[in-house]
Amino acid sequence: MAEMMEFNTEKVQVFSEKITKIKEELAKDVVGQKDIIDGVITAIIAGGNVLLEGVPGVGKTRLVRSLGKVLSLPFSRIQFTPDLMPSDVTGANIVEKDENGRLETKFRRGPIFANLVLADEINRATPKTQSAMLEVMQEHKVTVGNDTYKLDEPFFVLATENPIEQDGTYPLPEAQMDRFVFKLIVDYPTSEELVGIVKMTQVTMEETAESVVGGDDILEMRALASEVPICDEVLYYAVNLVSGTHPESENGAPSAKKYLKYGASPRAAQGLVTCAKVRALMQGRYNVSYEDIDALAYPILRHRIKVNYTAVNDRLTSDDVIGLIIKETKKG
Amino acid sequence: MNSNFLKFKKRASKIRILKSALIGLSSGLLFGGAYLLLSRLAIIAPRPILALPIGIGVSLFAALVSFFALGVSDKSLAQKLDKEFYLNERIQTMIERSGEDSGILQMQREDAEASLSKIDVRRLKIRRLWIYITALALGACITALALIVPNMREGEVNDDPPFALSDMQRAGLNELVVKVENSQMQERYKTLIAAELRTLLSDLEKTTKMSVMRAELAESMAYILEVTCDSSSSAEILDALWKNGNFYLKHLAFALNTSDWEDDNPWGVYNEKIDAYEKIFHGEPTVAGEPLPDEEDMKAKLKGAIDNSALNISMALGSSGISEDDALRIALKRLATSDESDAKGYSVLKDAVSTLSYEQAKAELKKTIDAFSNEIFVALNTNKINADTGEYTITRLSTLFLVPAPEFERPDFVKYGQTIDDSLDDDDQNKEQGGSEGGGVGEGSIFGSNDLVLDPISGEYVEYGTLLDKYYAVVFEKLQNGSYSDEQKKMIENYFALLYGGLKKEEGK
Repeated sequence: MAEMMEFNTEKVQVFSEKITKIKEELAKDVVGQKDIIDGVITAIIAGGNVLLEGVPGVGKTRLVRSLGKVLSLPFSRIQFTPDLMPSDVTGANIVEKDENGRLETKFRRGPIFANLVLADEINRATPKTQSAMLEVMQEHKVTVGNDTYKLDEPFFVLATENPIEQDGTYPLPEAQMDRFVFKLIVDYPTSEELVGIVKMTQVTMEETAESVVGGDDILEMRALASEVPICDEVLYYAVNLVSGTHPESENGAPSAKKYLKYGASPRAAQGLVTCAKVRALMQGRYNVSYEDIDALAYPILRHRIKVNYTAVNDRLTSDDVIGLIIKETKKG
Repeated sequence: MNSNFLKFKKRASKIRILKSALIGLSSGLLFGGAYLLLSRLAIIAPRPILALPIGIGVSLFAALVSFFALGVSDKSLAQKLDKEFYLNERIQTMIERSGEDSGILQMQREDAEASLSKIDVRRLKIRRLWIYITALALGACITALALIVPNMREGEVNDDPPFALSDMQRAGLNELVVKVENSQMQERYKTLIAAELRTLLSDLEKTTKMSVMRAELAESMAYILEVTCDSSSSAEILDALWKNGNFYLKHLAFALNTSDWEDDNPWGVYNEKIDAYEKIFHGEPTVAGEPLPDEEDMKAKLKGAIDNSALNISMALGSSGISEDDALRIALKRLATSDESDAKGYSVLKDAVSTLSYEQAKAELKKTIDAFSNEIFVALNTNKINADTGEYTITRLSTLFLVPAPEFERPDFVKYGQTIDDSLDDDDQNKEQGGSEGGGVGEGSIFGSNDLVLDPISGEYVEYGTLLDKYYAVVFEKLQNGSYSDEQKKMIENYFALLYGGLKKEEGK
């Protein structure tokens, strides 16, 4: 018992140290965006994919690139364009000569075969190409022809999309959106942050962050976070919150019935609890609280629900409706 | 279990007890106070003393119910602590996972314990304490108000105050016995009523409660009424007639009595009575078995004579003002309307024909009827005297003990030409016979009980005895209510004893 406790104490201490280091290193390349950084780290430890939405130039790509360096993981970037083909992402079987000069089919891996993948401007690719990401993001596998290739763990996709310039873009289908555990909104930096950004780029445009954790570290941190206890009341609250987004359901919150076209999938509840455990640990707590659930409800639910015309008419965003549902869901 | 959590649990138990006590106390004060207030305002609840048991009962009940209803489980206490001290569900998780063991759970417990240890246990307070305090204050205010407001029931007689026969009442009762015994009432009633009064006096000597006194008095009054009013029945009147001594009247009385049968009377009884009548009327027949010259004709004529006579009596009584529903009148009418078959009973008259001819029988009957016409009023007068004496006795008892006389319909004998005083006006008789006047005590004047004196309250002249009774009634009420000290009571009783004693003395003369 004492050994087990000591082991856990040590692991928790290591967890905290690593989180601190990751944040410190990221701060070298990314000014501000504390919530975004926390969200991305949470999702990565929880094993989820993140969709970053923001106008061009707010540091989305830089954040992901820098994260790739900090995590010391094989990193690849895919710039999504309308003419990008699925095979450009997953890879394809090619015909080449072997040592004896005979022709043979060989699978050439695409850029998806990395631990950390940046899907830049994912909504510019056609639905066909976007769909090629479905299996990869959910099952961490790639199937080409009759062969299936497993991706190395840990595997994350961090996608970005631009909320403006909608011409020539293909909105992500709901199934695709559901694969992202978080959708984080990257806002403009504040004046102070902007000053920091300008100062920093006067020195160098390159990322200067150093690698502090590896893939194994991430997996260990994930395993530790999964042990964080959650009491039944909080668990039921998380489930009720997700059920509350279902306008057709008996358990649907009044606001959901009024403002939502459809609600979040069970993946949202799973993601909510998993990420809440990570968040609790990051906050130095050993149990999940209502506060964790409430804080994570926005990034987890906002891309999984769709507001109806009434909400648009009332000038309510998804976040506004989530806020209403949180108020309407009973705690304890 | 976590020692810090146990501290909070103990604190929660204390709070539970305190809350239950507050709820109980507030409820008791609210209900008991409200009852007392309503009772003192004479709106409901005739017994203010019940406010105390009601208050205590409600208090205990509410306290017990709330004690069990407010039970705090570990889980609910954990929820409360988390919520009240912003502990981010640390305590709930600790309590819920107390049965499990793992490194991180141990750390979670230590974290929760550390969080609890930073909180002063005294910070766990009664939530919404103002509600309890308000309820308590409200209950206290209502109770205080109930104690402050004037008691609207003051002056009302206690439900069952003590009773002790006073010298005055004893003297009054003894005097009443003497009056009854000296009255013109028929002896048989006189004996019954005097005996009843003596029994009453004996019972009242032992009575200690007002309610018992009232019950005994009511019983005696009812008995006296029953005895005296019963003489209005035809049987009693006829009985009175029978005893009146007139030979013919006796015969008629018997005849009337035999005719006063009910539908369910067997025919044989009727015949038997007629037979007995004949024997009394004629004596034992001297010639037996000799047939009447014309038996049927004899019967018809006899019946006709009886019918006519009855009709004459009925008319005579009617013109004398006797009411239609009078029992005697009913009896006579039955005789008058009896059908021919009723006359069968007279068939045995054939045995009497040799000693009493039809004409003689008719003449005897006529004489009887004439005598009855004169004597009936004597009988009724006797009856009236009986009733008046009973009425006087009841009224006097009512005055002596301040108990209302029974109120139900009694025969109206006044229309027969006499008043109550006629039957008992010994003083007047004394006066006429040259006797001395009745006496009294006060201001040097001497009054008889029937002398008229000025009632200073009503401004009218009333009989001295009545006024004395009236004064005594007022004083008696005050004596019973405890308005006087023992010394004053004794003095007042002596005073009235002297007054009534004076009256008695005068009557004795």
